[in-house]
Amino acid sequence: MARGEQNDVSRRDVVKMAGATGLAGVAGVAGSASAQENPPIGNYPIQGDTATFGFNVPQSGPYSSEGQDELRAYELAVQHLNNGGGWVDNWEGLSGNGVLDYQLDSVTGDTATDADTARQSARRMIQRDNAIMVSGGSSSAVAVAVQELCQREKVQFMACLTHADDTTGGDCVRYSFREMFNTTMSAQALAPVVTEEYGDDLNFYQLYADYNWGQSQQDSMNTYFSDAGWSQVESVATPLGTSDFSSYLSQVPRDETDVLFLNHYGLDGANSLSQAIDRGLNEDMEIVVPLYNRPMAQAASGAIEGVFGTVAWDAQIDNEPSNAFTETFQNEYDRIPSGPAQLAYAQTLQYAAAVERAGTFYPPEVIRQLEGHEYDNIGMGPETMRACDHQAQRAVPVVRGLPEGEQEEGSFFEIVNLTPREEIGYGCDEGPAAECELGPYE
Amino acid sequence: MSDEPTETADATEEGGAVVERERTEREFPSWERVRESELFVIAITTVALAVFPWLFARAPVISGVLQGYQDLATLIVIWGIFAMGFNLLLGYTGLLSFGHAAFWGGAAYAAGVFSTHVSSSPLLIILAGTAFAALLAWALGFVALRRGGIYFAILTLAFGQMAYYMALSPLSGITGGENGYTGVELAPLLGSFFLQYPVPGLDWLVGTWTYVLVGVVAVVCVAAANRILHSPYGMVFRAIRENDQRAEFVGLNVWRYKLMAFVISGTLAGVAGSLFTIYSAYVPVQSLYWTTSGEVVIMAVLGGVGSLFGPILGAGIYLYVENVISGVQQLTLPFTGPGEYVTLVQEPVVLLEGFGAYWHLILGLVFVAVIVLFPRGIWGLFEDAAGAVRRLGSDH
Repeated sequence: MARGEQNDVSRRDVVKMAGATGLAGVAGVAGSASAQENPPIGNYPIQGDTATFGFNVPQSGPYSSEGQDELRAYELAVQHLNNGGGWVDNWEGLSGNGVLDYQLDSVTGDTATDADTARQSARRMIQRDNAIMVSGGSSSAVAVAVQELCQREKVQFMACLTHADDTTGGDCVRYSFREMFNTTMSAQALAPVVTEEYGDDLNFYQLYADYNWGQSQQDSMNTYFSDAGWSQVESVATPLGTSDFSSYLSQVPRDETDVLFLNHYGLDGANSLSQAIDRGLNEDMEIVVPLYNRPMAQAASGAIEGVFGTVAWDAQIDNEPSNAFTETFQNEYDRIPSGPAQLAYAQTLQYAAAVERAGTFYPPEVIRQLEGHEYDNIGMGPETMRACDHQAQRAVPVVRGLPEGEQEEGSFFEIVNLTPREEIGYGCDEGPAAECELGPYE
Repeated sequence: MSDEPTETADATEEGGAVVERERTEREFPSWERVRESELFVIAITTVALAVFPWLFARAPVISGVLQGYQDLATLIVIWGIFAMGFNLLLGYTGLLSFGHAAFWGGAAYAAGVFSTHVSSSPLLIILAGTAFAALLAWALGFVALRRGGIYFAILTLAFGQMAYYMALSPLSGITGGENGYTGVELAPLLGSFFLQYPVPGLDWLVGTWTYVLVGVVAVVCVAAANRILHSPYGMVFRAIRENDQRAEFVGLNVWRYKLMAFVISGTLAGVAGSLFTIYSAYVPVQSLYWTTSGEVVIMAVLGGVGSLFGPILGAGIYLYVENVISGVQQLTLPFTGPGEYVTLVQEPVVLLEGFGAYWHLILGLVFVAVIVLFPRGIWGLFEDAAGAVRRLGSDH
């Protein structure tokens, strides 16, 4: 793949090497003992006794409310890693007193749900703040752009909310890991549940957010529902950030369409769903929102009644890690955490635990620790971080919206099914994974 | 009697001083003339560009206060070229284009695709991107300049958005669509200098070869723009800005001059766009979006449209707010908390939590303040201040 790998010696490597030879007067490299064992790469070795994480989340733009919740979880994760608490107390290897001999610090940036802004922001974290790990997400285009930068700069990226296939498909990189499932897996989890509920031989109509994720999502929905015997009437693109969907919704043929798929997320999702209900589309057809989450459900409130979808995670999932996270998040912020928040928290801890296992922050070693890692501690059943495409193989929660009367704080939908990982996914040589070439470790 | 010799001595002394002063004036032209001379402009630009990354990213105290970093310094210079080129059109010819993203982004894509498929030599990449932008500017200008004023602005905006949608969907096979163009290949500069490497010996000053390349191109662009603006050709641009009918009556082919201004401006945007590809090794599709055109308008107006350097300053301020201020988690009182040069209180006094998230608002406030208080932009403010100081000096 053409990704400029032949000139992958990062600028910072050279600065550090120059510093080591006393050439450029850059602060010396002498540090921990591991610094002598492993050559400098990216922002390794860490200078000083504080390791910095960069949290790059949307604080403006259509996904900003997801971003704010992610940020809360990231800050909570850093606090727990430094001082104990939350999952840190139960995870093997995590001490609750920093990671290795380092205390953790964090810097944040605003991606503005825009790939270019996100890259500039990540660049600042990597260059000025010497971030050893960058995490963030909420838009797949952003995640793809940032992880490509991280691969070039040899800084690890722990993808948070990114749902498009490309992230661990054609655009996958060695330095990025994804806990979140993807659009293929959403469609695979939804198809059996939805077809069983609504019947066979139905016609569906799709609207999708016109960017990486929306395209990927509508494509997966088409594939798996067509396989299940349904047929697509049409699939229509809407620009990302649309606030008025009425012209698109008015074109949905009410007599032909049995089910409407709204492939929108964040504020867009809340808008398109409420507007579809306002126009009475739910009287003529069923509505499915393939990916939704708590802030979206809250914004759409009564409109989500009976609407099927998948969520990254939900506070109602009843198992030990999920309950522990909900409780500690609630104690800290006095609110129920959203799915993206759990992802943000889990990914930060996952990285820290891998560093502890590796015994060093040296990225190639940490990456090897994460590849093929088996775990069952984030509330999604047994999981594997697959080595071939860095995609977590995990369960997918399928949910259905509750009527407004039954909604209360923190419960907007019921968990219909926690589809286990055996029933979804694809092999390393098929689907998106077939297009994945991870690139070099060093 | 005793006084006479002294008087004569004084007289000779005075006479000598007068001669001396006259000679100095003949040998050294006045400050005003020095300031206007091309060599001086080039020299001062070179010095400023050479010192800038050090001041911004590495100088003691200043860089600590500014929180700058090398890459942002590079980016500011790149956008500075773009804003300066844009201002040739807006500030000097009086044409407001809302479609300059087409040249910036078009050049960036052309440079990126060229680097993958033809040659990855940085200089050739710049050449290819710039040539593409110049040709595009010619074609778009040819159509858009049929109309003036608001219609021209709207036409350029439409062309810009057309380019954006082309890159987003129909041409996504080439451009990578929403994901952007990620296949950029970069060979060493002149076959021997890796762009991301520090410059041996001058590392502390200018940083990397990328910055050297960007800086040298910037100096060339400033020199070219300065030459054009101080030539009779540039005079015609200003005449058109002041009154294009009168310029027409004098016998000038106004349309042709406008087209040339548009092409020159698009070409400079293309230079900047190509440099952006080299800088980021990636082309985002947002580089063609109308917000990019909007940003460059804001930069130009912020810095001051009436001058050559104002827009470069505007670019710096805009990018500073976008990239540095947006990352400030807490707004604290100065000199409180650890890590300050002078610490009054150990515990930081937090004025506002999550300050960085308001960066759009801050930018808006800065913009409004500049427009209301200094209509000639920040550069205009500097000029006024310098003028006031000089007047004070000459009063004595």
